[in-house]
Amino acid sequence: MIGRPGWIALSGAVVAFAAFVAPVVIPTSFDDYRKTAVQAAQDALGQVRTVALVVEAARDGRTLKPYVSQVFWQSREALGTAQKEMAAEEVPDARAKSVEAQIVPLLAASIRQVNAAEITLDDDVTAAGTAVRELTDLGDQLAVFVGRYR
Amino acid sequence: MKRLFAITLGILTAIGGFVDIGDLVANSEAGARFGLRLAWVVVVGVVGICVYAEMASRVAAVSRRPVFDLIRERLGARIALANLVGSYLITLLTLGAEIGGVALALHLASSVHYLLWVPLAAAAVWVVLWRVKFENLERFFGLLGLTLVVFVVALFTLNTDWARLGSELTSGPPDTENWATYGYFAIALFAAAMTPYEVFFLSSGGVEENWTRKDLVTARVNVFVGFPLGGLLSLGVMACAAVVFEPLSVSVDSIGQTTLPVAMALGKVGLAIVIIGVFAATFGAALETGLSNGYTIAQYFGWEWGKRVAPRQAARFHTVVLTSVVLGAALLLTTVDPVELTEYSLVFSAVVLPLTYLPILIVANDRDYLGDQVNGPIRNLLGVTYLVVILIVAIAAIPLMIITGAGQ
Repeated sequence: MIGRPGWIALSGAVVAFAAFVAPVVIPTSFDDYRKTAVQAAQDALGQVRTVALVVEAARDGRTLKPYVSQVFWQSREALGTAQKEMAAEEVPDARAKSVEAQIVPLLAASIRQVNAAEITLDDDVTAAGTAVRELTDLGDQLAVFVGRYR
Repeated sequence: MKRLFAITLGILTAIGGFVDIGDLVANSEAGARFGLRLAWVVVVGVVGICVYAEMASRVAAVSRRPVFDLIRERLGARIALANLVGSYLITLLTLGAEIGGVALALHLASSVHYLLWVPLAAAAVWVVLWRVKFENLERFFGLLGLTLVVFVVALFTLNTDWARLGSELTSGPPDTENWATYGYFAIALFAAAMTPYEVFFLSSGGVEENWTRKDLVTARVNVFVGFPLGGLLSLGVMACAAVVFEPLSVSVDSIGQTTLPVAMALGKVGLAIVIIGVFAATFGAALETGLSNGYTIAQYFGWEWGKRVAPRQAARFHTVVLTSVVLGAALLLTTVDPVELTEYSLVFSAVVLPLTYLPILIVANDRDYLGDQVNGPIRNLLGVTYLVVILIVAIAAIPLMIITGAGQ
């Protein structure tokens, strides 16, 4: 017979297994990989389109410099996190490999273009239109990815 | 004339003081992902907080004792302890989130990293709590928080598709979302409107300001006019996010994004005003949560409390306040994201809501404390109805958090 303390210990062990051990021991499925990729793409989409809006507003003289710099910082942080989470995910099969081949370049491009947009704003505000167009195109590509794999 | 001025000032303070970091985060996130489809939750939440805030202020004005004090006396030490632990921990999380909000507003205004602002913001909160008179701190930050009305102004300046917003009011979740995330965000919005610290602060504040039966009208007008108008500010935040971010499928996860629609609509001046508004709303709420932490613990243990007495006489109360501010800041210095901290504080707040609101309903029905001012049948009907809603929200909060991966 298991007494009350035994049941409590058993419940604790089951919860600990579910929370900490299972995610490490159970191999990643395609579905898990797909979900992580969609989440990363959605995060990147949000950042890329937000930066596009901010660059546009900055070009029109509607923002303050510290504000713009904070938004860029936040975007870099979020994109870095998305990239790290994607890299940490095990690629389970060939289908996931194909997803990886699409999302990894998109995330890299997001980071590159956000950095480029910041440099453009610092150097030449009048050239911001090009940065906005590029960010918009990239946002559309990310949206297509999200739509395909959601 | 003096009374009219007091009532007007009270209403304005209640409007400005209604919005805090939880409202800013939950409303902008919900607006970006669901448009105005969850606006009804804000309305339900505002009615709920009005029902219970009126009870709490009536208890304070008639019995001249704060709610928490009576909870222990009426329900016993054990039940009051459960209430205390739940309420204190949630209010501490909220305090951390509010200090984080102050630091984020300063980051937006200075481009200096928010973590560097956290210790300074916490120190400023404590200095204000220590030095400034209760009425002054409540009014100054409440009135400054009114600047958040720029969200409503921005809404009318942006290229708003009113027909789309109108059609969303009666719709279920959009194609990109499911009922689980819809429910999760509904719970977050409800908890943001009914944050437990609001009633502790209101009832203890009533005692600090020496409310009597004569002040019942003022208290009711503040609650029934001030809070709904404050709720309009929340809806303004939600609608701005719905106009700018929803069509682009952009989810909001930073205060920078929350304030962007105002910059787009009103330019630099609007942006400066909204940053001041975020600062005032979060700083004011940090003061309220800091004080609420002190109030709950001091009232449970029967210590001298409040800002109406000299700090030397209420040393334990002030020690709790200081310790809470330090703990809130320490939480942020672990580098936990203040916005995520806010999201979690809202969900856990939803879980402990019954612990806060059930005792208020019980005390508000006790003739020994309230005499002829006990709840009538309509107030009880509303109170019990909301208690059922609160229970459902409390039971559903954690499962929905797990199922949706915290709203992902």
